Amino acid sequence: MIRYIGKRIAQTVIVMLLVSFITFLLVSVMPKDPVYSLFGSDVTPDEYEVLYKRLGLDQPILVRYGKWLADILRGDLGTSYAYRMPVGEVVGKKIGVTMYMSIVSTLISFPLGMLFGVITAVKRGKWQDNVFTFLANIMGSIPGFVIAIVVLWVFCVQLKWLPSSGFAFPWEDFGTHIRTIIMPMFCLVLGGVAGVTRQTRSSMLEAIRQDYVRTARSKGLKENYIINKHVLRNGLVPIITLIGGRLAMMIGGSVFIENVFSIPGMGALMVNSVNKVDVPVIQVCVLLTAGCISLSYLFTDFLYLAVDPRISLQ
Amino acid sequence: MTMKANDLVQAVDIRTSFPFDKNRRVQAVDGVSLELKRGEIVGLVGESGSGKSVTSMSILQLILPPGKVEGEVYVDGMQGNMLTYGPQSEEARSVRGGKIGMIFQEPMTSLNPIHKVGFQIQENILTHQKVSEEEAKNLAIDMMRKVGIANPEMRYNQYPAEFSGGMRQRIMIAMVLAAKPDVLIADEATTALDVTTQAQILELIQNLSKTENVSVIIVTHNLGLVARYADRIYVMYGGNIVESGDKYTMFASPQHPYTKGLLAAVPRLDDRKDRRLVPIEGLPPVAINLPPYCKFYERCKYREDRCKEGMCPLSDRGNQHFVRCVLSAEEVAAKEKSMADDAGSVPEKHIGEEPILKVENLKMYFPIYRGVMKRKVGEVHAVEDVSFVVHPGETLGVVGESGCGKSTLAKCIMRAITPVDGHIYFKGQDIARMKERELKPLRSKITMIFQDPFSSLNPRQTAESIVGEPLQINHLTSSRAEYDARINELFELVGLDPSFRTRVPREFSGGQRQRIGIARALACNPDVMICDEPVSALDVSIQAQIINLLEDLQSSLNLAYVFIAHDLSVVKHISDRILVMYLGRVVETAPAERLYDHPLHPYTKALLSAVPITDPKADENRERIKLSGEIPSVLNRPSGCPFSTRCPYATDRCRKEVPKLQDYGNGQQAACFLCEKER
Ligand SMILES: Nc1ncnc2c1ncn2[C@@H]1O[C@H](COP(=O)(O)OP(=O)(O)OP(=O)(O)O)[C@@H](O)[C@H]1O
Ligand code: SF4
Ligand code: SF4
Ligand SMILES: [Mg+2]
Repeated sequence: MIRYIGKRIAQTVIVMLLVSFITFLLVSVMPKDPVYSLFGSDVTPDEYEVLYKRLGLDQPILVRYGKWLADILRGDLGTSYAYRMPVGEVVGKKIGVTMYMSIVSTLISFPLGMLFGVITAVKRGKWQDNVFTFLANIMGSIPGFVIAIVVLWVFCVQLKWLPSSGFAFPWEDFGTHIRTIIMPMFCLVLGGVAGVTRQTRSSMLEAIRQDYVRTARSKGLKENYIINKHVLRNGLVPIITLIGGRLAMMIGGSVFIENVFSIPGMGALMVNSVNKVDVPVIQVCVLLTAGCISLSYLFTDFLYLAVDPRISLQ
Repeated sequence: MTMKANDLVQAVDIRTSFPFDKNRRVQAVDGVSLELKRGEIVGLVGESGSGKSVTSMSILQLILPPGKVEGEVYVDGMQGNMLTYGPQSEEARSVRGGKIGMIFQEPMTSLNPIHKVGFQIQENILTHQKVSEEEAKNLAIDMMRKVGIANPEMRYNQYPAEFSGGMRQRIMIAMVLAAKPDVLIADEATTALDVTTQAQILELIQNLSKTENVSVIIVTHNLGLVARYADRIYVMYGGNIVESGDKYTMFASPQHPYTKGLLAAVPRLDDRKDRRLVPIEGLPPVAINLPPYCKFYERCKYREDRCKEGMCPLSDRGNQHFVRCVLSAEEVAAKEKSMADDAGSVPEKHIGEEPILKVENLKMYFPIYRGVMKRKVGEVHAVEDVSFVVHPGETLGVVGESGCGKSTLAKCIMRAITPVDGHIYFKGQDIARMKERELKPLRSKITMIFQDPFSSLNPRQTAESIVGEPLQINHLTSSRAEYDARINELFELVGLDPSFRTRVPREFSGGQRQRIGIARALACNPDVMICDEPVSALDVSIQAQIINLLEDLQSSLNLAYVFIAHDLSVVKHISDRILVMYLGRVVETAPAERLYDHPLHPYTKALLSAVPITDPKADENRERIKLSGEIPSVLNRPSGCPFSTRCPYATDRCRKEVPKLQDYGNGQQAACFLCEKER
């Protein structure tokens, strides 16, 4: 058990190192000279030599990678080419916004989706199943930004109830928070709930078909009890493992939605940085996103461990 | 309608159907009535799809919508027809588990993997008995002990994954009996288990039925099992009961043409050497197009036009023996005589002098890897020092329970894997470590047929290309015409219409597929054919056709067979010599007749006595050796005699030393110290 946990943590570290190395390599493949980017194009050739050495660009790539990694681990994320200021300051709050959006929407969509999934599976073929499954199928197949545009048009342009842009964290200004977040969150959660509902439904139906459920019925147990004790856990455990993947999808979705609602999150930053070839910022964005996703996968694995005795047996 | 005095369960005219398509329903069970008396063991037999499981699930109201059950079910102590209460009613639930418990076929999946077995037993007790959790736990542990689970206090807290298949079936039995039901339904409860384990479990059920005072319904396709363990038998065909009665009466004078047919189609351990099986013509019925008259009509040898006039009722032939057939026993007997069964004997064999295949001291070990670094931590000794010879035209049977190395042995001979040590002489040439290039021309001379010949093949490949592939690989035909002629010849050889050439596997029945598998194996005129469980997936009536085909082919083509199967009756029927394996070793080998009449090794004796014969009187007179314990895993084989952990005669010497195969005359060899002493 402890060995398994250790192994999974080691795996995560290795994945992160790989990702960091690949993002580091971005610098070398990007057609942008770091010296000119950082210090302006009016640098003289002599100054260029000095700055080139100061940045360590004359050293072999592995050495530079080591140095970069050490800097990152110390908290020095480098300097943005575009803003000429530390990446930490540029990225900090924006990544916070995106992470906040994705994590909250994941946390909302899972319980809701699982609930609807369980209802549709248990009431299979009844009206509850027909209605929810129909809705989930429709919602799941419309891209998030289409919903976003429709919502924006209805509530901002037509009804003028909600602001069309902006963002505030709840601890900054709760009222603004609610008003700015309600639409983007709705768009994210809708797709999430639809997806989780469908996954939960099929996983539950799979669990209901198992032989041990027939055994439970043959013992004369009540149907509700059977669902609670013998179906639910077996049906939901596979869903829990999907949290990591869903969070990754939410981060992707959030980047889109942020652009629609002009939320100053990573979405806008990434688009900008890619346009301006602001390599250090891109590096850090990718690294942080990858880090969040790996951590959530790690977390779901441990969750899995806690709910399924079979794994701890091995 | 009321119940007869001493009846526990009475089912009347059960009709169960499932939707097939928009406007048709499959009538899976079509008017089945049965009754169960207190203390009785009843057998419900029939081939796959005959509706046995659906009948038992209907009685318990375990059929889920859109399936529909009609009829009447009366249970002792309950008021009125149970079916009118509905499956989720208080009444139905108190019958399920409380009055009638059920065990299913799949021991590996019938227990919930995420709950401790103790919990799953306790749950049943708490639902049906007014006891506290603590008392329920004690009752559960008691019952676990009664079903033969050692150390039940500890095992109570274990998960199903920590039990073997046989042990799980014991847990299931404990679970069912702990709630003190009146009836236990065992639906193919032992089919997935090894024969000696199967015997243990059925004996356990038989004993518990007496000590715990429960009646039992054994649901099975195996006629031998009901002949040994049941008191009364119902035979099902196409959703009907076609014959029922006391087992002695029924096996002594079976009257329904289907029952007679089944008995003629299954091999028996005590068959004479040259008995030829009589297959039932045609295919098992498909529930969607069953006729409104006798379901057996299509396949019945004795059918007449009046059989089509309507559904014939079960009629009492005296002695509580009921038969559903228009013809009387005398009429059937007269017809039988006039048809003068031409089944006769198996074709004569010509066994050659020079061995075609000679295996000497064959060993096959597989490494076991553990951990992240895949360190080698040990070896599985799958085949340990096996020797035998096979002559042209001869069949060598190989029997043994799961994990004894039968299939590994086959793979070595096929050279799908390279043995670790030993020799395999084919026509005098050692192929054990031969290089692929030298091996190539020999490959087509040793071929193989499998349990499911198509599991590994492309489902869109036509029958013709399946059969013809070996011809093309080995460039055996020079022209298209020659190729076509050979394919047609092969199809005819295995009894398939050559016009089926362009069909794909799913358009064939199980038996036909096995014929295609045989045709493919015959394509290159092999000398040796290895048959690995070739008939174990087939229904008994079809099984007989394939066995007969194999026997005919052997005699006309002078083939040597290595016939591997777990079904001892089949192996005994088809083989000239038999090799009994246990945990990778040969423990005994003898001519088939000799092995049955005069087994030497305690394991052979136990194996033989675990297999019932379809004649209850004769079966009762046989010597029975019962085994305790289970087959050890090949990973921790006993250090001495492989059988020493289960052998009733094991001594200290047995646990230390491995006995060698010794010759006992009459072509019989056994590896056992006890036999050495008695000599
Ligand atoms: N849930 C279902 N839906 C549709 N058809 C079914 C269902 N269950 C069983 N059947 C059909 O009912 C018929 C009888 O099936 P049943 O399982 O009772 O046979 P059986 O005698 O138990 O066979 P086996 O030996 O293979 O267990 C078969 O034709 C089967 O296909
Ligand atoms: S009723 Fe006719 S067809 Fe049916 S089993 Fe009897 S003889 Fe055969
Ligand atoms: S050698 Fe000993 S343990 Fe092995 S079968 Fe003979 S008597 Fe039993
Ligand atoms: Mg069945």
